[in-house]
Amino acid sequence: MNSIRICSVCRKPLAADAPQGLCPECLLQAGLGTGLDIGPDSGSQAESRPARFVAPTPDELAKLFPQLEILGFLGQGGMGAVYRARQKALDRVVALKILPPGIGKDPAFAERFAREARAMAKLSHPGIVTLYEFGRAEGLFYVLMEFVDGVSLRQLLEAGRLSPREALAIVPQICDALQYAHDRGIVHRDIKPENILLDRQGHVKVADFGLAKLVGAGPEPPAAGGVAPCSIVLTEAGEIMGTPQYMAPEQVSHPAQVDHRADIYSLGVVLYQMLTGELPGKPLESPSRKVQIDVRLDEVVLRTLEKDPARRYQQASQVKTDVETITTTAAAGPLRSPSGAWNWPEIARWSARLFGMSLLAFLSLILGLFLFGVGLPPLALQSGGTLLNYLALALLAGGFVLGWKLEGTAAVLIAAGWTLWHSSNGTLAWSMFHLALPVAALYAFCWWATQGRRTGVLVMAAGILVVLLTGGLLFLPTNVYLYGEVRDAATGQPIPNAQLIIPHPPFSPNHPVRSWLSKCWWELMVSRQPPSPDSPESPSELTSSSPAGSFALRVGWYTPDKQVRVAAPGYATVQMALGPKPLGTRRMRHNFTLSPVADGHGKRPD
Amino acid sequence: MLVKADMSVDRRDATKSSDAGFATTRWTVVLSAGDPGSPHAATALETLCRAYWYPLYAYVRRRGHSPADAQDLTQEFFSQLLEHHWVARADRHKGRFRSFLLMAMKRFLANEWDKVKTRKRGGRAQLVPLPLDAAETRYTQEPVDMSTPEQVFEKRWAMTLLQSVLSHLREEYVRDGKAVLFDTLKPCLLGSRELQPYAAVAAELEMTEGAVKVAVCRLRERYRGRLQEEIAQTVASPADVEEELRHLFRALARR
Repeated sequence: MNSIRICSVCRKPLAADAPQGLCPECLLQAGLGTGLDIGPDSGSQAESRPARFVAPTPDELAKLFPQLEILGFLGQGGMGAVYRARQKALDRVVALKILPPGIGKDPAFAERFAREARAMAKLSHPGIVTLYEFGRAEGLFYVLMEFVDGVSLRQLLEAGRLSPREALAIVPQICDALQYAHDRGIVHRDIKPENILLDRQGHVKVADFGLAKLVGAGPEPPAAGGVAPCSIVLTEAGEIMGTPQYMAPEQVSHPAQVDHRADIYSLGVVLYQMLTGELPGKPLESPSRKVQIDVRLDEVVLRTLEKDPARRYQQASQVKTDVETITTTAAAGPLRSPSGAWNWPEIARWSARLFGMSLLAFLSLILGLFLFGVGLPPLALQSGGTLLNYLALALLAGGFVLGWKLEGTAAVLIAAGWTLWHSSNGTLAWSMFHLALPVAALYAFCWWATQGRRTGVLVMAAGILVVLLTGGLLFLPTNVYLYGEVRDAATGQPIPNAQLIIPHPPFSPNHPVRSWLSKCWWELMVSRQPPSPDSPESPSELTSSSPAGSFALRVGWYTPDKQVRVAAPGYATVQMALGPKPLGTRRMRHNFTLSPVADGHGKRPD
Repeated sequence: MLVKADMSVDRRDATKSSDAGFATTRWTVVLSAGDPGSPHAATALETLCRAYWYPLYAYVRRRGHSPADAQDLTQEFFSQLLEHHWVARADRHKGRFRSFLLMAMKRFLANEWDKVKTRKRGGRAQLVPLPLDAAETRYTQEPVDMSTPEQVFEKRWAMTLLQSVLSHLREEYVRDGKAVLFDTLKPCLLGSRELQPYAAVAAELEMTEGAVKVAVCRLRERYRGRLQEEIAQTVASPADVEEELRHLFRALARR
């Protein structure tokens, strides 16, 4: 064969055994990826676009950059390869970015590169990755910039969704950086999660300002000479080939008329993705429909995603202001958002407030009336529990009050108060304060919905409550029972229908209002039979012995000085103090023996 | 307000494909076979050998052996490889079949060949029949250059791989009755997507330009899929595929 074939792409001669007549180098290069299906590269300072060139190894680079110690390869994208390096003279760690070698073929490129680099170097902002140096080493254009020790937003998005709270903390920092650059006439043109870095303190740093224009990541017309820019952005017939997801529509259709508002659009896409985990789709759905977030954010996001630049936010600082307003002011808003979705957090909030305020009003009424009378209400259904009862009520009241603003705290307080009340009373009988628990739950939901997915704190609080409740039941001297038998002292026979009473300090029977209030209090708080009007005492517990003489008397809150009175017709009444109880015991055994009364007071049973 | 970034995300994670599907590639089957003599592993190894014997032949010839010796050597090497389960010895190079094969051949040449040389030529049952007669013809057609035997081996490896990929790809299209489409579109596999002569191709195939773009897009995707699959057959983990691809590219580019 005399003629030598040449590959039309790389201009190298084709071997006779070239597979299917195609240049093998170009085939392998095609295999390295030019298309839609390569996923984003990791490496916090590398980009998402697939490689169009083979990155030099660190050893090869070390020869080109004697002043640097190449520490490692970070990643690669269409805009170049990034390495971690150390400037020997300054002893600082930097990021070295090598631009694709094909780029330098255009002679005017060097000048454009220098101009862009100087513009980038003027950007000195904590939110922007600083440019240290640029230059050319053996035909390879390079950039030396600040090394950011952290992760990219892309990596965070892939690891698991950010909570709305975190996303809204990142956005103002990006806005600051963008506004700073826009004020100096520099447009980024390639805002996307790979270019947004977060360092270990959580500070945002935007990378690759201006490089996009340089490397031609936007659909710039190719430089003179027909050398197409390296990165692949699919520009023909967007619907067929796939639209670059973060680019503003005008970047695709009228690239010459692009201004800083394109960055705002890209920011909107990033924000949408941070909140919902997805890219904005073809019928654009408002984020609040997809995720539980503040509905006011819908407006902000939709406005940044306006197709017409004139209807978009005109300044990045405006986006920041709106976002910060939303985060700082308590999420108020309509019960039903403009898009028709029910604003569940808001509904929960108002229900909780309604119930909480009613319960608070009731509580205040009762307490006020008692105080207006004399002294404190007979809270201690069992005297030892007074302090704890008051503490429980204070927690409840505090929770109801705070709930107007501080939902998370309120939920915890209310739940704690409710638990303490029932622990200290030794009862889970129905009482009005059971309503407090749904109030706590509603506040908790409200807080969770607006604060994000960090339920760790709530779980911990719930855990503490469970411990309290269980502990209360176990260790607090509540829910104690006295068991035993009542027997005749003389014959030893069991005495049926003996009455066992633990008397309670009396209410004031003479004051009508207070006795009425006492009755209400008794009924509503404990739901027991109110004391009968003619008995001077209001027993806390009462039981009768069975036909076999056995009894089970509920003591409730146990104190050693409580008295038990046992009475039966025909017998002398016995009264004794309960005495000390071992810790943790719930059942005390005691048998009572009653002496028959010879004359007068009772009838001798036949 | 600061955001605490989650620093546990690994910075250098490569693209992950599902490992479940990966376990069935041939090299991983061979490596993970507990019993090297198991039929499953043996078949996999055989298939691999049958696909990639030529680069070894080229290597041996480049080392200076005569065509007749080279044929015997290659044949003998593969027989012993399959018979004596040399895979078990390959721990350092367990990552790639390519490097394993080269190491094994070097070791074979250093140790075993002398012993085998004295044996009578021919007359041994072939475990893996290789088309060695045509090998020499192929070898002589290669361009003369100053490469080392290892470089020759790697270049041939890359070429073998590409030839296999493209011929399988073509078969797919032929099966679908689209042989002409493939032959006309195949130059569009190379170079950047924007610079393809879509209009010219559309005219030739009498299709709309839009349809041509779609077809080219699909062809490129299928090509890439096949290429990665074929490479995956010779490496031990999904993360190695891209690295192997780069290595082969560099091997070819060194001229």
